[in-house]
Amino acid sequence: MAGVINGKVLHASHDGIHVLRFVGDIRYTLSPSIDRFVKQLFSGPPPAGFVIDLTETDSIDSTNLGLLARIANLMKNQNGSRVTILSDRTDINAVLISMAFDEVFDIVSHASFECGAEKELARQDSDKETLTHTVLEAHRALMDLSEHNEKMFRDVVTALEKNMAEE
Amino acid sequence: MTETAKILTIEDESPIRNGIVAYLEDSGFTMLEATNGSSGLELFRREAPDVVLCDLRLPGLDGLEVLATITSESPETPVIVVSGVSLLSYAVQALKRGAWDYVTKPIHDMAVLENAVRRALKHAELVRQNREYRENLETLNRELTETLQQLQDDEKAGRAIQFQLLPQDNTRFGPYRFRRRLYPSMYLSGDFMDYFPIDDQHIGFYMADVSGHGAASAFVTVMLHTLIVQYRDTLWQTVDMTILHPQQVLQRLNRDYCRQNLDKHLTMLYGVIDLESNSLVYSSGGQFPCPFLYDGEEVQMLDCRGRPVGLFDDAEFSARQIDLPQAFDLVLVSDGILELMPVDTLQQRYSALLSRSQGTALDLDEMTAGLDVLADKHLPDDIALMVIDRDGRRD
Repeated sequence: MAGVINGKVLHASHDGIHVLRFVGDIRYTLSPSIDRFVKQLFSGPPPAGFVIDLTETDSIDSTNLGLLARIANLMKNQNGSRVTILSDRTDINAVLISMAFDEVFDIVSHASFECGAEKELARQDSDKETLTHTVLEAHRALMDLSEHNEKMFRDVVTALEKNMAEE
Repeated sequence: MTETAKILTIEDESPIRNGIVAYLEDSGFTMLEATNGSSGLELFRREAPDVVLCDLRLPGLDGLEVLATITSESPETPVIVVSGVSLLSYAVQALKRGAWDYVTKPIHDMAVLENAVRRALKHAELVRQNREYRENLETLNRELTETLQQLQDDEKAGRAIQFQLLPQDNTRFGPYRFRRRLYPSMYLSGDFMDYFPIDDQHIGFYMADVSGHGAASAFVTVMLHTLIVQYRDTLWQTVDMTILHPQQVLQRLNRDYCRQNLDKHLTMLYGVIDLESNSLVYSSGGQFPCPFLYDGEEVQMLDCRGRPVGLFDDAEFSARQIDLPQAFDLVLVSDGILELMPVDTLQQRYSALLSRSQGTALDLDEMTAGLDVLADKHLPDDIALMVIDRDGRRD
């Protein structure tokens, strides 16, 4: 099973909000590409917001969980905002909670997004106003991308390979 | 061919031989000539021509014999048989014996002969390249196999060291018994565990899972072992009590690991048992699944949420305390087990095993077999198992 690569990582961005979507089984074989991609992304002007979409993730291994943490650290250091994780699978959530990732990321599900979560988030204490704003912006960008610009998602690995070929 | 090819012609009839030599020399070839079979063979052996033109009917050594000798001594040298039409059946035999082509005498158009020669040279070149290519591949293959063997031997040696660092299975500290099993998915393991007396009153233990696989992760387990040994030593040397406080141990490990920028992190649980109060204080950095505590009646999962070690500079760790029952089993297992079954199934199976054993201490090998973990089965991820028990009835 270790040799089968059936996972992929897609990327799209809109108005400075970046979305990384993890699909399938995310194993350490994908990590070098994602790592390089993230480095490239953060070498320029920092993203205004970052969303990690795990709704189509079947499994994610420790190496890639470490990568998610790195993205969170980068965002925090560069513009102080938190990364949003979109996740509604119980087993994925179990892993995220066990590692207390809910302390580091804003973990939301599709359902909460759709049920007027904006209002609920807006009701939180004023300390979290900035992060609430980020989550809303991220939400809007993501919905926009998913509904109207699905084609804008590009496979991270092939994009990197193309870049390397062009160098 | 950029170099001039050497052609040997073995032909007893002078006019024909001279005609061939003159024409082919004009065409740019270097010509060698022999009038009979044995001198032809001698010349062949001495000069190693690129093509041999050989008449079938020769004085002394028969043309077919010459052909057979050349093709056996030098299978890659093309031999073109030159023969009179009336000896067609001989020509067929010649081809069967290894001649590459056949030109009939008298040769009305020398161009036919020249084409035959050029074709033969091209074909010989292809054959030679093909053989070289195949030989290269065979050499590469051999080298790769040797290298692979070396790597495997290296890893086996590394594994032996890792296993040496593990604590002895089935060790008692006071009324507490510690047992352990480790099943690496490859030779080297990213999982590690240890248990040790801290002082007369305290026992320390931990289980850790390093992210990733292979040698890099194995190095990090060795680093962990070394760091914990350091923390143990500083208790005696400088009265630094970190080792007694799980929350501080994780905090310090987190600092030490983050500083190294290794691109590796660990999920782990570190605990200290107090022999006087029979209580357990532990701190967890993302240990998953959480440990099971069986008190003789029910199975409870300990609360063990926490950030991994080595991932966040600013991570804070918390400690939890529980009183240990008179008789209990505490089972720690690494997340490799979840590749074999989901968490609920794990809990169910464990409970089932307990009810089958009816209160007596679980045999570790039976337990692992009952959980489908077999030593010779290929595992997708390392599995570490530690069982701490205390049998109240024996006190």
